Amino acid sequence: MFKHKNSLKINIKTWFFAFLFINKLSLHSAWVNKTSWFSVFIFAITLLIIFPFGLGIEALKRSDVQIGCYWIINQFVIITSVSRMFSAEQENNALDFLLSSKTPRSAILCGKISFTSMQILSLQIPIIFFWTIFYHVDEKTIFLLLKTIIPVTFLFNIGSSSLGALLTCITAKSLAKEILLPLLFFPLQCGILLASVSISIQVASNSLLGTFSSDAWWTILFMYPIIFTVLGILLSNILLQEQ
Amino acid sequence: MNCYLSCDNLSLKVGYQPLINLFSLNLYASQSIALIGSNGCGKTSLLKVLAGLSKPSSGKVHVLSKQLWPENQSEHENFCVFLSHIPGLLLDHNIINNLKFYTQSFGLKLPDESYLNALNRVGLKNREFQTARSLSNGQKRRLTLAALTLIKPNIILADEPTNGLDSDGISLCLNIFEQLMNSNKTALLVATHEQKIIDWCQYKINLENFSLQNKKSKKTIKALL
Amino acid sequence: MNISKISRQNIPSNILKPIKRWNNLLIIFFIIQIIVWYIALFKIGADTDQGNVYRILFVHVPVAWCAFFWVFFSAVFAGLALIKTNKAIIFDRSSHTAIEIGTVFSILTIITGSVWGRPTWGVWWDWDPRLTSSLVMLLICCGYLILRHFTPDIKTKRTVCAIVAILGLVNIPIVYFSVNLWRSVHQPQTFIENSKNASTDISLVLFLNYIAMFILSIAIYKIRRQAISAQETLDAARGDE
Repeated sequence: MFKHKNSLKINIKTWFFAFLFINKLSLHSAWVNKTSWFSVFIFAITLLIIFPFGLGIEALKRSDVQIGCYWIINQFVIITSVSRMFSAEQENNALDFLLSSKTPRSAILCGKISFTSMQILSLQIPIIFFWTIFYHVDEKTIFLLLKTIIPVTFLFNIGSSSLGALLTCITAKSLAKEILLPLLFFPLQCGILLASVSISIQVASNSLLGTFSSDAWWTILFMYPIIFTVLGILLSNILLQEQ
Repeated sequence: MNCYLSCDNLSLKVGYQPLINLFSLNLYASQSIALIGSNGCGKTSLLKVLAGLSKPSSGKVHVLSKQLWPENQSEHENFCVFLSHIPGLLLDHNIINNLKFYTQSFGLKLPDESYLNALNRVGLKNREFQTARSLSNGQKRRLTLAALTLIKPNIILADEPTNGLDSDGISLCLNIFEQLMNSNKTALLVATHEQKIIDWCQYKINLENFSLQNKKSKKTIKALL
Repeated sequence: MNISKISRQNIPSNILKPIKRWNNLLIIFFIIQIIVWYIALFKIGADTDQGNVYRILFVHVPVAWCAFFWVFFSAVFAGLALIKTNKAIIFDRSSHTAIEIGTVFSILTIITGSVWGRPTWGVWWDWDPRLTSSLVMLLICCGYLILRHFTPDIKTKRTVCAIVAILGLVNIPIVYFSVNLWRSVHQPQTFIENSKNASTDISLVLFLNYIAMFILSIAIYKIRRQAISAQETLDAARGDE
């Protein structure tokens, strides 16, 4: 009989511990590499400042333009965070080591998805703050807006991170990965982006982007994270493999 | 004798080129095997397949008598460590955190002194909070050896473990391997060019015997729809 | 030296026969398509609102349907390639061919749609949800083809392209239901709601056009599929030398 040291059976408990372990690891990597967080934040603030120059101050008085700008900046934040998802581990073959243990691959993927969405949220909170100041967002609508924008942002983050995790794994071994990640990411993310923008605009200017109820948009917002996370879990063995 | 790792008629391909053909191996407890062969004959690819990182094109792999390929049926943690030829580290973290990453990947929780003792053993004393990026290649190598002493694995698949080590380092590496084999019944499969390691290992396998490089026979390829 | 005669002698007949068969079928289906187009152009009366412009409908709608169909089928083959790994090569080749056909038809859909849109709506392009979704589908197909071209290893290529095809499939229902879900200047779907919008003879000719374009696309698919098989077999043979 083999001596299994602390025989670790692969079950839900170990899956959960692996999930927490990956989150802790990524948090540690992000903490050690604080400049990366700050660089994305400064880049987002720069974009916030550029929009008035490009669109004109008159255009920024309209609430739908204000909200549109917010979501465009979100897109940039997401794409930079997603492209760096596995970079700390891939840099020096640490991912190979992690994969050689029996850490469940779906736990690795889910841990990365949850950490990336938290990281993006941590960037979005100061961005919202500066956005309300720079763009003179109406005080009456701010409270209403925040009540909607927070859950919408949360779902948007998880949906986009899960999609991004799938695509990062897919394009990791390709020769043109800098082009492929945006090229595949933006078309697939259209749905959730439209849903988030529509719901926010509906709150802000009390009009709808379409002649239908907002229930359909909320359905899309909920479906995206669910579908892509489930796809990620099912395909995690294939995605995180060498060949 | 317990068979820790066995593979049966394993074939590897790179793209359409066959790399290794019908490779079979039985690795028992406390046994050390050296894999030798020229550059590019497939040592790293073979070790990656045995570690579960890559897929072979055909064949079976069993680890601790549970099947690994074609279908992963293992239920317990195998404690099979794969050491790549570039030491796999998290470069921005400090040394202690790297050791913790190694041990916690396998689900082990150890007290802090054991990490310090392991570092002392490999000659990285008083460097616990140094960033891994600032270490030299040989020091990174020693760090991975320290991790080995902490994990105490069942199987070690090492890809050129002495790359970058000085002669003291090579002796240290051999010491650690020897100790793990004696006290822990570790099985060892090393791909290496270093003569000391080859002489030290109990058996040698030459991978050139399993490649089809020099056979120029007429092959028929079945055209699939 | 008659090279074509010699080379044809060396190809075994079980490979040559399907190639010849589908080449002949392609010609037949093309002739059928020409006949149906003739009927659509000259034998049907003009529409009351749009005049003769509406006739491009007979090209645009079948081509759009073919585009969606082939992208859907590509995802089905991709799913089969991931599930049945012993036959992955065959399904992966089918999936690749289907996406190529889907891309071509998507481009034609967008072009014919623009040509139709200009006289009827006044603009070449509108950020209408259905148009946007078709454009998104085209982008995903292009992404698939670029990914396929830039992934060097053959096994990784098969797996990742299959995954991208499935992701594209998840996007297609959004395209299909976008007419009902979003504001749209498109007319509602003509067949599902017992056509209050189209008269019977237009529906009949449209149906004939559907059939003709569909079987034409099947013939193109078969021929392209044979070409891709031949190319991959040649790559395999060359790789082994």
